[in-house]
Amino acid sequence: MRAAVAIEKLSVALPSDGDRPFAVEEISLEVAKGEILCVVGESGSGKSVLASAIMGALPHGLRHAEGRIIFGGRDIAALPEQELRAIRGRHIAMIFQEPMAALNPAIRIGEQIAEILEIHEPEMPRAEREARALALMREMQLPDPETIARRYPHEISGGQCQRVVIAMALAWNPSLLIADEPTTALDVTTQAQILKLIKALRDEHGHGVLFVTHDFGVVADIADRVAVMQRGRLVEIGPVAQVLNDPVHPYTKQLIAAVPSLIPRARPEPAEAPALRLEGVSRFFGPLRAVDDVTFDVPSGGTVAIVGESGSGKSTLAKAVIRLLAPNAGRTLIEDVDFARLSGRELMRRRRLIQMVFQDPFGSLNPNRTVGAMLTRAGVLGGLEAGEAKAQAAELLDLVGLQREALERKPEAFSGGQRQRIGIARALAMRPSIIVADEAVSALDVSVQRQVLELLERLQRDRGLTMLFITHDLRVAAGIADRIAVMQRGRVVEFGPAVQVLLNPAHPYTVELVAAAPGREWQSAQRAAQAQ
Amino acid sequence: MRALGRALRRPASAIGFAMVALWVVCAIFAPWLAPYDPLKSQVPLQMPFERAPDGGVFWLGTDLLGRDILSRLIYGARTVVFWAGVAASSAYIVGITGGLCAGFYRGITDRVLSFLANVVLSFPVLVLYILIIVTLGASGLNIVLAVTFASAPAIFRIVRALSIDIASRDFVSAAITQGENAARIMLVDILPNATGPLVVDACLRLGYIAITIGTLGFLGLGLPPPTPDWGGMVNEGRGMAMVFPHLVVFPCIAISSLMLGLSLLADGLREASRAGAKA
Repeated sequence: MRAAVAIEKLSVALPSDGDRPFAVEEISLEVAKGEILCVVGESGSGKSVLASAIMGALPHGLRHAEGRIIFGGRDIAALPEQELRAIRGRHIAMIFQEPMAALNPAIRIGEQIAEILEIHEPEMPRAEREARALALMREMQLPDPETIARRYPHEISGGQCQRVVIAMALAWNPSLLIADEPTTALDVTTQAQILKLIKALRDEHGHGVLFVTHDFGVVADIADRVAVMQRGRLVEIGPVAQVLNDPVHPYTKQLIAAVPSLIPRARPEPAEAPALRLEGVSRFFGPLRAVDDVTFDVPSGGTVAIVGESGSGKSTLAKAVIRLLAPNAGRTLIEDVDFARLSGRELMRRRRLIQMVFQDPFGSLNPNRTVGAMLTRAGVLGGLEAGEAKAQAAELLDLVGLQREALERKPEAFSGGQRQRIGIARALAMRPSIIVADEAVSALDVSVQRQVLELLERLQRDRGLTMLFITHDLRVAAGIADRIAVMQRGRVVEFGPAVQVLLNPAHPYTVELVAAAPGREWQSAQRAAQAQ
Repeated sequence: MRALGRALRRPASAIGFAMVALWVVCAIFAPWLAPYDPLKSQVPLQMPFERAPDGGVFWLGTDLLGRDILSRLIYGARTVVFWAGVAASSAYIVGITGGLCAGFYRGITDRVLSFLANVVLSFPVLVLYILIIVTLGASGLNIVLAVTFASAPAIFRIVRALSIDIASRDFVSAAITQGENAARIMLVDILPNATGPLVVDACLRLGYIAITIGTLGFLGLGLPPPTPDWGGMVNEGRGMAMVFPHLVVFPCIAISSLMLGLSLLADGLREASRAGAKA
């Protein structure tokens, strides 16, 4: 097999005030034609920098320091911008994580695809351009291409946008396609379809694919070979079966061990008495029934995971339960009081009982306050004296595994995982009985994700907390939930014990979700091997 | 503060800061810095650098009534810096309070306040000033009132937009779920996160207010004479500007240097806070 691209000892220098000298350090690898090479790593591993270095489009402040990128017999790292431009888009194409952001919101889809054709061949007649754009859209399996061609990006779904972006990338039949987390922003079922499409297109056109991802499930589904990166260095590279099932480097082992499994963990059966009862909870936005007649119990000291895709209403339900939004109908019973109907002082007083952990570790902490001030204030609002609240703040930091020096610092001093720990400590500072976690680990790397999940589980055990855990990731739900509620278009379509919902789903939508979970086949094969 | 430090590393903003600081120093230490009593009549219409009867020098000449122009400019800085500061603070207190409430509560509060702001904003500012001062009479307090009335709606709109954005962040949701009271959420969680753009706006606005005070002085609506007032000095001298340009030129330079200094400083702070946001 000929190489689509060969990278030889590539180093990319970070600015002098960075945390290390090189974003990418002495990396050598090859992507063969017709091969999908997955580059995996956690955030900050340099995997995206590697991708943009090949494109010759390094982010501002980064500099190509050393090494060669051999493409089509030439070292493209040494080419002037002028010549690179002729290669970029035509011979090497790239697709991105946010398909919506990669498209111009003010231009119709059909014209955007036609424009790509025009850039590299201005003489092509208009009619031919349009016909080729439609043909490309058909190849991407976009339904009704004539209609979609006339639409603007905001009028089509995220998955359709990503298909359009892929169409634009493949318009000139490039010999190398670089994909930087192209399915991370998509729902699981859409992700599964796009992965299938990328594979099918590769089979047909025989181009090499460099696929950057953080998700080993995705790797298992799509890769021929895998390269694992850690802090800018390549720690392991090999065929997919070997790296996934028989990793050599300790870091690879650690990463693979942290991948959440779709098989539910055995957990003690929670008490029967519900700590939180939802009865017909509904929330409408105009004609949209975002949450429609949701009824289930959350057992005391247990965890219910609400799973669903974007737009299923799971976050709106969480907000309605915690009263960030007022529900239009229904009751939420906490300690036999309808929390949904409370107002004024009584609501303020009872808010203490139910606290939330948010998704975005960067947006959920006030950047202007010290951690100590946040935790102490939460304690005071929870009914403690100022002195007690201060002492409690220090204890909480011990509990979530942070140093006490953190009290004096502001959020900017902490990493994503640490911030999430602070968010958890803030919720606990009010001594609640129920925690609502809204995608609390979605923004974190797998190894950090695992640590935070373990922390939540330990706190739940020690403090008898009841948890409502919202997630889009069935694998995360499998790891933490006793019961799972599956939501689709505002309704709970399936509710039951985690084992039953995941291993023996009843509703067709749940079946589809479980089937779409990335890396499912790999994990069950692995489990079968372990069982033997 | 850190943004100011970063801003001062740029030569343009450092010059701006120096120009503003010069006038502030003049305002504070006027009695020690001014060579003469700004109200004392000496030799009328002396050109710059002419000798004074007591052996000193009229560095910038004297005016129609024989008062030393340099001394009047230095004392005039007091008028501008003090009243512009008070007027801006007052406008900010009103604008920020309204903006925070509208941005946090939304709904009817927002609609009523926004409507009022839009009504005031639809008047030409100068007409508004003249109306208010003519009706209430010329005094420092009435200048403050007029400036507050005319500027607060614009500040309100900025704070409202910032508050709506910040109120949608999770840390504000967290404070709500903790049962935190609204005033504390606005003052602790929202306002401190809106200060960057507000400081930049404040620099520019102080400049406009300084000009306004000058304009009012020029129109005879400023502080009643004989208080030294840059705008008033331009007005008094304008009849003889062709023959004795120094009567007009120096007060004009004073007004524009303060305005220019504040603008340069605002530019620098804006760049610095952008760079800070990226880092």
